[in-house]
Amino acid sequence: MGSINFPVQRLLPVALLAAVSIASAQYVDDFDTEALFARKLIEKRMYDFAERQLNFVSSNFKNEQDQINILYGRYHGARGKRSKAVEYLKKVPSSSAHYSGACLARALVASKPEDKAAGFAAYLASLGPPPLKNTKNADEFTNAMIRYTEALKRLNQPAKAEEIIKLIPKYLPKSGFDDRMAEFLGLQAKLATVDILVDKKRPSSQYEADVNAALKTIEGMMWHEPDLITALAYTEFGHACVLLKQPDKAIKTLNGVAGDLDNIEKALKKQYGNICGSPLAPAYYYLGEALMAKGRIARDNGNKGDAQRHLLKALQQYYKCAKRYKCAPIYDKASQKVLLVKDILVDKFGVNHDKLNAKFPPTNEQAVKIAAGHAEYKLQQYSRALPHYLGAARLGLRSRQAAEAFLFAAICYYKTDHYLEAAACADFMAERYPRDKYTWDALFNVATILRVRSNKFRQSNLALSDRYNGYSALLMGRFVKLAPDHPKAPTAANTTAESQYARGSRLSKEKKILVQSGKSPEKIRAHVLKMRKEYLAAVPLYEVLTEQYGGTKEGVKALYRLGWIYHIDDDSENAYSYFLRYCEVQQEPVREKYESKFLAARRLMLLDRIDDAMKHFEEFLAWTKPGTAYHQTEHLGTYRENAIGFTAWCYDIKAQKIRKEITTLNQKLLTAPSELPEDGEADERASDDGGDQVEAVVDKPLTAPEIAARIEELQVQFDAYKARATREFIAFVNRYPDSGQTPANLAKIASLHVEQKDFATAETWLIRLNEEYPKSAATVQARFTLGRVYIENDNYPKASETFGKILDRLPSYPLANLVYVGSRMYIDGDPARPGLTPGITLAANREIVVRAENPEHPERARALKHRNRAMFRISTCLLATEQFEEAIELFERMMRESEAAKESGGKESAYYFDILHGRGVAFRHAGRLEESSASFDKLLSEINRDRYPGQYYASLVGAGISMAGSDNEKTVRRSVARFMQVIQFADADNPRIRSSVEDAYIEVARALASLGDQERAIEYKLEYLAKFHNGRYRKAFNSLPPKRF
Amino acid sequence: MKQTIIVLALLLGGSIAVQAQRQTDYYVILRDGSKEYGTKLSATSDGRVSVHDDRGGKQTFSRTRMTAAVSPKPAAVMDAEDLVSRKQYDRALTKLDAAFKEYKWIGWGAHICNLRGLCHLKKNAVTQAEAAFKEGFRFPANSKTRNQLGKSLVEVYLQQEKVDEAEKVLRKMKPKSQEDSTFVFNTRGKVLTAKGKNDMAVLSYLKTIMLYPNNPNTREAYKEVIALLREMKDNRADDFDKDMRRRFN
Repeated sequence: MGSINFPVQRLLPVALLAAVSIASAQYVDDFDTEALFARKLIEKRMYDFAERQLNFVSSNFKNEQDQINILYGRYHGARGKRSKAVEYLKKVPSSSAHYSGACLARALVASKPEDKAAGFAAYLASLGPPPLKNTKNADEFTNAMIRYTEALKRLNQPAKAEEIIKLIPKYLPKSGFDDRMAEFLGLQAKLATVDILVDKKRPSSQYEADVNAALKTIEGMMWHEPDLITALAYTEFGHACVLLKQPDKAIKTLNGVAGDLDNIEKALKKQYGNICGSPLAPAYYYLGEALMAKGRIARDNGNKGDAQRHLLKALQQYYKCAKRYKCAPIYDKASQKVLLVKDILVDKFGVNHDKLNAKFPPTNEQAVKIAAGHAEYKLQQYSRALPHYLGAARLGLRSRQAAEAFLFAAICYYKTDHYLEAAACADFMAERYPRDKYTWDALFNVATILRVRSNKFRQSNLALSDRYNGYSALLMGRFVKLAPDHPKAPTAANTTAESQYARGSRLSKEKKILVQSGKSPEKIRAHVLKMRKEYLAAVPLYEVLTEQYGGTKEGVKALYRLGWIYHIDDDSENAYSYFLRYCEVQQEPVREKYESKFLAARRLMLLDRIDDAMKHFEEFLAWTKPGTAYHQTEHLGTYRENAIGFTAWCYDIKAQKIRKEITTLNQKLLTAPSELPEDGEADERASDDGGDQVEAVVDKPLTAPEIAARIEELQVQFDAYKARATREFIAFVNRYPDSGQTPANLAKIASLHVEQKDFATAETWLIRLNEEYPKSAATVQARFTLGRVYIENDNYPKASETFGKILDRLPSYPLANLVYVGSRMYIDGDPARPGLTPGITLAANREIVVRAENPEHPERARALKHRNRAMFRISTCLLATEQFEEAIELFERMMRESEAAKESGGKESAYYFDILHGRGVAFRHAGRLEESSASFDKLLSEINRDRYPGQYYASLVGAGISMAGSDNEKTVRRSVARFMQVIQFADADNPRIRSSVEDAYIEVARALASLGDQERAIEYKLEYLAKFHNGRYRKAFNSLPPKRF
Repeated sequence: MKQTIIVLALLLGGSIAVQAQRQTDYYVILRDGSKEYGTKLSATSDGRVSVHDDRGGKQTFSRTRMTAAVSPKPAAVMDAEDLVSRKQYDRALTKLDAAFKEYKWIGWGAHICNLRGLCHLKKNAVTQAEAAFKEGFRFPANSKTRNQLGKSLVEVYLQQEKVDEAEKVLRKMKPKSQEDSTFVFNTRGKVLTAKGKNDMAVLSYLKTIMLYPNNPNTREAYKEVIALLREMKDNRADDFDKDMRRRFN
């Protein structure tokens, strides 16, 4: 097992190994230098730079296409992309001068032994007949031949392996590698290959001829003068005899040369300082093998005593080899045999285990167990190999070999379909042996297998598929973190991360289907959460890529992916940061780059970092303007269009911010100190103490003139930004009439004009919006603005019509808008000048009350401040719409709340008297005249006439009207007294009282008429006509009621 | 007598040797690659070179017939070099101006221009330095001198941030030594960095590091690579840093 390596290393002249080094470059810009550099980059695993270099070479040296293809082949091979490597290498025709290089590269990148062997055979054939023409490639050639024989050993071709080794001196005649050396190595390779056949229990007929041929060669070599090769030939003689089942011959020969072999060992020790290459090691081993064979024969003959004796002797020989030659290539096998023979002696012959161990103390049993596992593993008996590996691992978790044992245990687990056990093994290794290369291999292999299994189960068992995928991602993440330099690490990290990202994308597509099929918002929300979770699971993997392979193509792309993941997760902070990092490192003008720039700017805008957002939008627009490299890329138009629109919004937001600052400064202005005195007092005081002066300057608050100056400055900026925003919006809507942003931008233009009090222009824009995009959300939202514009233009019927269309959308309007609409029942608050229809103001005020009473509404606090007024307005509207019972109910409720507030030590409602008055009116209209009178009487008993004369007289009139409506004559007569009170005492010249006086005149005339006192009624009529030339009731006096009593 | 003969023989032999030496020191290289030797060279202001023989005869070659003229380094140039090494640039320039007129066509034009450029550069007269280096390219010179001129001109361009011009000169340079190769790689790195192509700049510096690991310029390349990788947020910067510390202590 592996015996060929040692002699080659020992026997090949050092000169051969060192002779050929790649010639150092002396020039720049020549192909050899550039190709050499590319190879160095590949060797150093700097794949990103290697790729750049290869691109450079392929664009600058078009005549060297074959060599470039070989370089690409090596590059992809080193990255573990075999098929791609082969694709490039196949491009080199057999007629090319570099065909041999391509063949060699194909052999090196192949994974299967037959492919490797075919590659090396092709390489050898391409070199032509010996000797090697280009001696610069001697090192490469020798290494290739050694690898070729290894492949042949795995393919059970002993004769061919021997033949190949013998070719080395023919191709390299001046290397010092002579025919005898080659012959020996050849036959050793041959016998090693036969060993594999024996292990596989193949019939002896398959290899006997080869062994006999080898034996003949060895016999010839044994007559040479004694040297290392002669000594080794003797051991191989013993080896061959054992293979031919001639143990006595082997024992006799090996015992016969023991003294000579000992001398060689001494010489070796003297020369090299160790006995690793001593011929005694294989001699002991093959002696043991011969004695084992004899024991087997004795056992077969039923002679148990002889069999035990031979086994004990064999154990002795194996033990010598295993104990003394730990660095010898045969050591593993010898140790394994020690363990095996011990087991046989204990199990089959009843030898005392302790006594046996006392005589042959255990040495490195772990390695032996691993080797035993390997033996089964090679025969693909994974379930039988597994206990060996697990046993080996248990023997010493701290030993170096434990990781190897665990690796193979993990492989055996997944080979026997125990995937989770395999994952557990790899996970344990990552914890326990993070720096061991076996751990890295275990992590990578198990993660890959799990991913494959996950894909397989995706259709049939999604839950299991998800679980496997999760484990795979976890293990691959660990692999990449622990072994960032591993050739497969970048690809592995990228593949796993991309796979995870693809899961998120799949859910994203499913979400679209859910939305289209009209699923409930809860379901969609749950799906979105799941989708975000899947995307976020890819974050650690992409982070590994950005941290470890920032400069690679995968690392760069990872930044873009991370940006998107955080964008999807609505994490603006991370999203913009990754998008900008991507823009920084991506050098090519690709779609992803401008997309990242745009999205970064958008996210900054959402973060309210308007200056940064503006900067990036402007950079984006500069990058992508017509004529630039980006302008040729796909989907650019939409992004440019949106960027132009968002830039306009940024100007507007910037202006809003300035306005806030102006407002703050205006408030400061009220408390700002006046300017320092100009008579020098303050300066003189300050000059006494320099320190104080500095402090005074630092802490000095801005003076009023300074604040005013700053406000002025800001105002200029504000106007400029607003003007710019308006210009940009107008340019946008004219340029992109079909854009999704256009309706919103049209609405914005209108609102900008509203802000400037230019209602006429605002109306034009809103009408355009209404006509061109009647169904857009912006149009519906903008109807409020249109309504307001109509109000401001004194067109209340149109305003009522506009607001009438949006009553069902009131809950989506801001509170301020509701307050505005709710207060416009009368023009300028004058009940004599009706404004919006009561239905509209009623709906707006109701919405205010709803918000105030909803503890979860975000505007509740502000709505509470408007609640009382809104309630009062509702009741007024109810009166206006003749919903009296509802009005009474509401007035009663307001009364109760007011009284409760007063009782609890608070203030009564500011509308208290209005409520009482309204209630009285409502009662009267509802026909509940007594309650009406009582309500008015309560008001009159509590109100201060001098302080609230308007309300007082209005209530007097109200009370009178309620009484006059009674069927009782006395009550009607009493009502006359109320009206008289008003007529006599109220100041008709006071505009707040005048209307009550007018009311009193008409009502008293009506009451007197109904009592049959026409004369007095006419008196009052004449008095009224004389007093109120433009009175409201001048005509009403002509239709007084008839006598009722 | 015997001694006299020996002395004569020695003298004669010496003179023959000196003559032989002179014969190989002064020559012109013709277009066909052949050489025309003489004992002295002289040139006209328009570049025609005359090869004088020891018998007083001379053969004149126009610039179209020859590729270069070769003569030993003139004493005036050696003096100027001495002055440059002592940092007496004004005096060196006076000397070089005189030497330039006399020797520019007989093998020393490029070298003198390079020295003049260096003196101007030391005096911070960048424009004059640039002119001097550029003029140097008009004269035939060996690859070493041409590369030296190229390096000087590139330095001047980089000082003036004329990145494209520097790149053009670098492209034309044909380095024949490790020193020149690493200079070209490193300087290309600088140019590419100035152009914002950081990844390509790293590639250029890596050429120095990987192809000429033991060159004096390699340390500089390491430093630049580390700085650029750090700027690119590439973790390999730390690996290069460690590697540089290990190799350069």
